[in-house]
Amino acid sequence: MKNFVKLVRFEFNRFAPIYATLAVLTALIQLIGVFVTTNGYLRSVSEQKQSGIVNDSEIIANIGKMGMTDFVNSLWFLGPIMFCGAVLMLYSVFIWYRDWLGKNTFIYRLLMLPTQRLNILFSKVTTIFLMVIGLIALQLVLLYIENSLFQMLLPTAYFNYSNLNQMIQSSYYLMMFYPTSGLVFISRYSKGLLGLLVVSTVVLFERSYKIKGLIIGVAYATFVQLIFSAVYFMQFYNVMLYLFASEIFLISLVLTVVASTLSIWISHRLLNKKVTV
Amino acid sequence: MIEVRQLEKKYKRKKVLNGISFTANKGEITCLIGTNGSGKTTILKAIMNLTPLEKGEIFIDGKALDRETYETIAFIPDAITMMPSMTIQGAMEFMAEFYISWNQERATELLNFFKLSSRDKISQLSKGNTMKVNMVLGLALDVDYLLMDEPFSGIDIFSREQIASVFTSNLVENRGVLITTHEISDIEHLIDKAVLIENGKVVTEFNAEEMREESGKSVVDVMREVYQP
Amino acid sequence: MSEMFNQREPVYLQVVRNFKEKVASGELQPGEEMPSRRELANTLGINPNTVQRAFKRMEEENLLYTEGNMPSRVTEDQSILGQVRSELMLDAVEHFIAAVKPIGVTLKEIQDKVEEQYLLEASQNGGDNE
Repeated sequence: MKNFVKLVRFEFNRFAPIYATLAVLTALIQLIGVFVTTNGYLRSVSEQKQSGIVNDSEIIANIGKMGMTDFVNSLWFLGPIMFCGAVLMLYSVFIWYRDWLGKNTFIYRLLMLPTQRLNILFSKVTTIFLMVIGLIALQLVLLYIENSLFQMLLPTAYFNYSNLNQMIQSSYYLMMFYPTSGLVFISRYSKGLLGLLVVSTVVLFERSYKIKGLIIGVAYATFVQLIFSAVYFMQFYNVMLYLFASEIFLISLVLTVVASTLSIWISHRLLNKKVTV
Repeated sequence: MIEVRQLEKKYKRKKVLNGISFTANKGEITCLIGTNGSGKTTILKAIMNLTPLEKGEIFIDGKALDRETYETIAFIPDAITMMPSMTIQGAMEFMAEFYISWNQERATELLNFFKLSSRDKISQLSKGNTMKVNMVLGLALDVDYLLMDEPFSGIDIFSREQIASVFTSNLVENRGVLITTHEISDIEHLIDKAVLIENGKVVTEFNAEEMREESGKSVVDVMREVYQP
Repeated sequence: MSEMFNQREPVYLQVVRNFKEKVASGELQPGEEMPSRRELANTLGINPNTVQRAFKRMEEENLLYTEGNMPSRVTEDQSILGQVRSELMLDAVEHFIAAVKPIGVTLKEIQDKVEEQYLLEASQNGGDNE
């Protein structure tokens, strides 16, 4: 356990500079986005005024109010999120390969540590997971800041105030990250964790059996994906089984636990018996 | 004692190890000799469980390797195993954090001996100095056995002499040392035992002094007989 | 340092002979303290176990003695020291005879030549020293 914590700290520090850059970049682009969006909106307002419409309510009827509910679906807002997502997804693979393919093969050191080799897996997966959570928390703070910024920059009449719930509800992506129910939260984040475990298992298959391993790994990942797709479709076409939503939820939770355990077990075997430097 | 029994390993259908067996004793310097590609490095990796085997058993003091064994046996590969972005100090801190057997006093002593500065970044070191740091990271562990892969290859003559003097010092006293090399002439006087490998098999295994005493042959003489019949 | 050793002769025997030569020449004095095995291994650049073996041999031949945990010392036994001298001399003479035998010279010729050469070299060395 102590070694696990040390390894997580180590893995985190290794990626910290890039991670910090991601966080700063996200905040920067979104905040700039607020200014640009506000400017664009105010320009439309003055255009309206130039064309002879002076009444605020008339203008609002034409072009609408401005606020977070509009902004959260703009590229200024979603762009950085998608970029961070893509980088972290890539890094969940690269976090392994950098140890093998670097000039100084650090994997020798990691595998020769006097600790359970599974700790290497756990530390890498935990690091990525914590980084995802970190960015999602940052986004929550940014939502508040951006809302206040709109309030500051816009004349009160044109500002569309929204509370956190309204902001989240108005974007498909935000709803994905901030589910309102605790159960959905657990289900979604446990699936995320499972995804990271499966990616690591695929990498370890590849590192153990090269091309052949990659094929086995991808087949394994597809298999896991198919099972969850089946559950997902069951939810919509609950034809023959007449299951309650809560039962479907339970099934998917059990499957997540089973698949995670399987991934960990396979990874354990590969790390201890098959992996090669 | 490190005991290696009937190791077999294939690499893309080619048998790199084909029934390798030998022992390396504590308090002795054993040298695995073989041409490039004869599987020497693979043997060291297999002892450290860094690569799987098709067959064979490895015992360290009679026990199979587990994670605690990494406090008893250290491997110094032919390339440094620390991240290039680390300073020597950072690398030592990493070692200290994970290994109970890490001996900082000895590490400092070694750095002084090799005239290395702990503030230097690993990526900025010369080949010889990188190898020395690599040696420090292994030698400063209070382990019973040290495995070194080609510690003398590809570095300048002065670095070689410095590294060779490590073998005659108290740094390896009472430990078992297993090194690989394809060039023995420089270190012939340093070793106790030679294990000659060819085509994935041990051709002969002998004590260097006994060979001189009984047959009047140097290790190089035996190598000539084995590799150029 | 290791270049001074012959690769085909057991290194420990070479260390022993080297020691005997130093004792005979007086470079090592009777009763003088020996360096530790580890130090000697390091200065000679050879395996410490080899030095250990050489020490063992020298102790067996009573060339060294060790009291308790003290460092080993060169023997002070005059008869052994004498033996070392005569052994080394005998060794050299044997080599010499083996070398001149094929030339087919008489003992008298050898004696005269040895004397002549010995005196010549002694006078040359003496001259150098002045």
